[in-house]
Amino acid sequence: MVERTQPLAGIARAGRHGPESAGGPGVTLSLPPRGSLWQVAPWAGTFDAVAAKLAAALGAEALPAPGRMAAAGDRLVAHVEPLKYWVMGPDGAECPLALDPEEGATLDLSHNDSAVRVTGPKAADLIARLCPIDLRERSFPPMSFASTQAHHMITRVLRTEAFYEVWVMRSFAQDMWELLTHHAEQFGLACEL
Amino acid sequence: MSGFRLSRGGRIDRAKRLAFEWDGSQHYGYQGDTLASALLANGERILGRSFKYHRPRGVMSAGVEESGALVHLWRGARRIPNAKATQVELIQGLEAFGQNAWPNVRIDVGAVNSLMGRFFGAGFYYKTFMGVLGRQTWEWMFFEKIIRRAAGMGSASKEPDPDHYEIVNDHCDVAVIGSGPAGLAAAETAAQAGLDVVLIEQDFALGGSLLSNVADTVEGDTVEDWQAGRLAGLSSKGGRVWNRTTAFGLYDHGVVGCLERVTDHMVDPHHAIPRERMRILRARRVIMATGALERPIAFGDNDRPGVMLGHAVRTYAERFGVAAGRRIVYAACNDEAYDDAASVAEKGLEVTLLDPREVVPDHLAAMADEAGVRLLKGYVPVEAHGRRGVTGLMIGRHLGGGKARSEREIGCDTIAVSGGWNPAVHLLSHRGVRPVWSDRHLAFLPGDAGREPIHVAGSAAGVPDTEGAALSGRAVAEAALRALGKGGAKSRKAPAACPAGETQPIYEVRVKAPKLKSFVDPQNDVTADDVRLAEREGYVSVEHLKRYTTLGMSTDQGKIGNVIGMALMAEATGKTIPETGTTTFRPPYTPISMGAVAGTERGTHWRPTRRTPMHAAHEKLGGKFVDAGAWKRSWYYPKTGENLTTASMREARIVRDTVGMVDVSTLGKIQVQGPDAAEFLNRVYSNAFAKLPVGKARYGLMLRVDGVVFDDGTTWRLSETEFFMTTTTANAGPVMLHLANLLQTWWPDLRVHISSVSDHWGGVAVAGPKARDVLMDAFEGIDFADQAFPFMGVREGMLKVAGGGTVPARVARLSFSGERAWEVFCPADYCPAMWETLLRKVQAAGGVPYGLEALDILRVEKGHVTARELDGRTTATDCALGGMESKKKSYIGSVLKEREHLTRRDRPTLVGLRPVTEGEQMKAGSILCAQGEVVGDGLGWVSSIADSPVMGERIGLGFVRGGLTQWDGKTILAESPVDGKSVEVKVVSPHFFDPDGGRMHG
Repeated sequence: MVERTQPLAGIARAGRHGPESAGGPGVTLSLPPRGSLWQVAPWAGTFDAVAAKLAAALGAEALPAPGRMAAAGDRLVAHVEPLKYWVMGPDGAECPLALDPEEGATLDLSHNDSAVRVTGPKAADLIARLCPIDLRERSFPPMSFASTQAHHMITRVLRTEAFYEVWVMRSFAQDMWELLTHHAEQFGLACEL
Repeated sequence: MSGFRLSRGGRIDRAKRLAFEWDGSQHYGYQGDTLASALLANGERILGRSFKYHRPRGVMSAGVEESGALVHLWRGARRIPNAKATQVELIQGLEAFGQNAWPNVRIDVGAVNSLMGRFFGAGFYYKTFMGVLGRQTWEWMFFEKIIRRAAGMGSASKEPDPDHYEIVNDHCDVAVIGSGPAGLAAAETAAQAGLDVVLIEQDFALGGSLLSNVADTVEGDTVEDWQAGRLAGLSSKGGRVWNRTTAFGLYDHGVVGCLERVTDHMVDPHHAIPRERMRILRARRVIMATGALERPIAFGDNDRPGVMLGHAVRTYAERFGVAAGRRIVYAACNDEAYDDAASVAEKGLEVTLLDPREVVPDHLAAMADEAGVRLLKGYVPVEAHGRRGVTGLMIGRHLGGGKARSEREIGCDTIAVSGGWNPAVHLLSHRGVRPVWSDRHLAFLPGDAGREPIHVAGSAAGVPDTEGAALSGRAVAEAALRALGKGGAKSRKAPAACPAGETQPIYEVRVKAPKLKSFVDPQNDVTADDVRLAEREGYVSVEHLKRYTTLGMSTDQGKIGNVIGMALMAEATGKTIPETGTTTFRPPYTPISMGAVAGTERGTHWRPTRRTPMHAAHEKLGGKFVDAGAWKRSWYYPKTGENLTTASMREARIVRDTVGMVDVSTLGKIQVQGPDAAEFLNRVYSNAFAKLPVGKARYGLMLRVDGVVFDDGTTWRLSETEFFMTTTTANAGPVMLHLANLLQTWWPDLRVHISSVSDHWGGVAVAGPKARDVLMDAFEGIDFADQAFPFMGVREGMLKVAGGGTVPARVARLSFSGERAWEVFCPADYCPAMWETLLRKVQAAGGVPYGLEALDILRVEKGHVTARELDGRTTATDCALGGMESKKKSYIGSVLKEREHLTRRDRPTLVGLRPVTEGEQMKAGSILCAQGEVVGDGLGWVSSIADSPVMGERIGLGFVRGGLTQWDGKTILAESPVDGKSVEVKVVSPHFFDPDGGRMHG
């Protein structure tokens, strides 16, 4: 088994930056393990049938609405475009569904993006310095997913109960890391790798 | 006489004394002071020099409308010019300096301009230096430099800004701009109804007009209790309060541009905190509670230090505990000034009030009498006396309409002027909503906001009294609630706009003699005579008036002089003020730092940087990088003593001799999937794709709709319904958008999904006579024998990685270099392993890694085109690719490429170029001309050059009118327009090396 190279290997370093406060760092950045990402994309005419098959394959009760995510075992499924679901799971996870071309298309995108995990009381404040989306609780509660942009980069932001993640295409990984750490320093930043 | 600190009062903390520097001297102020209040308290009068005439100026206001006390702050790289002292929060150690003056603002040599003032009227510079003198461009440019040095304001530091700035995105239901009585009431009402509210205040202290009305009550409470109650009601519901934040502009759909001053008030801020923060606030509704700005009256020398706005004098006394002077004359034409004069008199200062009316309402006369204000009925100010500061005021009998007869001088050190109040409608004007003139207010009121999600409350809406403003704020908040579908059954009606008292229509005081220098807009040194001169010279439109005289321009944005200017123009043209119109106020409301506009988009982050998954490997090899769009591409790998030319020529030579490998990860990659994918590609590319067999790749040429070449690349058929498209590096994004547009708007019936996989896959090209040897044993499941893996073949297999294990790979036999070559793609996280594995094999075969420069040499030798040739102007035929275009099918661009201009025979077409004289080097970008006809744009241009090791000389590609047909073998000139050098070149076939392509095959 060949090790996957984390896009931020050699760039992201553990450390503590910015003003100290009694409450601890405002933001903690970490790198989630490299995982799998399968895109499942039905056609307009097969959408309901494929969604049902995908839900069954994942053991999920129902698939999430656009912009939302659902958990299914060790996987997360996000409805990222009207006709596209993303199924995120551990490294090496197989495509959850085999589709006939008449039903839709599946695609491995596991290496396309670089993710940084953001936690801490100032996590949303940090992301607001990069993305123009509404991150308030009522608009972006846990299990939300958004395709947006930051500093001219296509950016995905997702939120679970425990953390946010900011994704950019892999080639932008260092640029986004520099922006995240720069903006986060004012809140007190811990990089935990 | 001058200003001093009152023994008590003011919203300052007298326990916290702050030392600061003014023009080299140490002074003291208190926490809660502005720089202006502290300087006034220290008796400083001359704080600035005017824009054009260098006249001495002092503090004129207590807010954003300041035109006199414009100063420099700090030294060195942090120097800030044109800071309004009235807005600068005093901090310990603040350094402030006079500007636009030499040696200083008190003794300014430039004041000689003032003696020449009669020549410096509106349009003086144009008339003199472009009319009489300066008819030649160079002359004007010469004079302009001198004029610019003499006129103007402060100067910015030329050093890089050591501070950093950021841009933040915020959202809310209701943004309330202004924290006076209307804003506080509106914010609390909206928050209590469950809305998410942001209250924005440009000052460091909240309260707006309440800060200078400490004696009043609001809704039955003291001002302080009422204010605290509203803020508690707001914060208890999670409302956010942003003080030190200016809402500088309103934009589409409730977007409020805000600038937060984050660290300017901190003595030693942490370096990680940005100096300023641009907040882009997206609000569902906006409530403007922006207040009103007092306007002056134009009279003689009404810009002398000591001439101030009437309410400002009160503000200094009430809010800062500072007396602007000891003997104060209120020169007013409105009832509200009585309250201000009384308030100031109650501080123990000598106050005289001029009222142009012969008969004054009893309650006003009583108010003056009670406060000890001496009331002079029927008088107006004529001319201020005292060059370096007010020593007296010539007053005149008011004859009506601002005309007066000079009568006598009264002694005073401060003239507090009040010509009425202008609602601050600027932000609404940003949205294109024209203000409407009110004869009752003698001011412009906000116009109907129409479909804009904007409400206006308080004195901004013409409801100036405190009780009315609070009610107006609540009513407007309820209107916002209704607009958001949250309106209750009972809601208040906003009080109608109603002035607090009577205002007399006096904009300028004139006497028969002497001729007065009366300023309309002191910040831009525009006088009443300038306005009349503009009218005489035909600049009667207010927009022309503004540009000709500079009235209300730049940082002032019409805050002080606009209404007076309009009134004078109306009088001169015999029209009414509303007929004369008003100019458009533009953002920003007050100046904002350019640093805040840029945010973090500076230095290496001025645009994003992309790195390939093998970037670290190139660095490890000592490779140099070149910027290609956002990408850092590996450029060349120099050995000791090598430069770009020698290293790249060595690399190219080795590829031709043995083998080389190059990182091609930057190519755009798009997965095209679906039952209609082949049909889709057949419509998108100009050549046929429908029948491309599975396991084969094809070079594709994509046109724009207008028939010009858009992009090229290879597309690989992975299955009947699945394709892997590659694009050029530069066009990866544009092609993706183009395809998405076609699928979503032109052909939504096609069952095709496109997905960018540019970053999922990284790749290398392995090229050279020994490429097969390198790859032969590198994979599981791929046979590299010629028959098994023919040219343009596509295979998928597993790459055996050095150190053990395999990774999936996608391989195609393609050649950009003209050598036997394969492109190998792996999922990006495996690319470092792929690079290491293949590098070892390449080096073992005597090969090297090569960079973009060698790649360019190799492709020029082969006559292959890149973006330098496919430059958005050329057709396929121009690039000798016309033969590829299908004549059997319709595709994007197929109709418009037949336009007459695109099919002309004399279009420049692709040729090769070689020097006639050995060793001569043409330059890329040179103009190609026939010998003896070096004129205009010649015959064409040189698009690419390469120092070719196999040709032993510099060769080039270019475009020539008539192409090879007309010029093959002939000598023409490559003229470099940059250095004027000319090189004789011979026109040849663009296929310099291996023209039959034998090396790629076999």
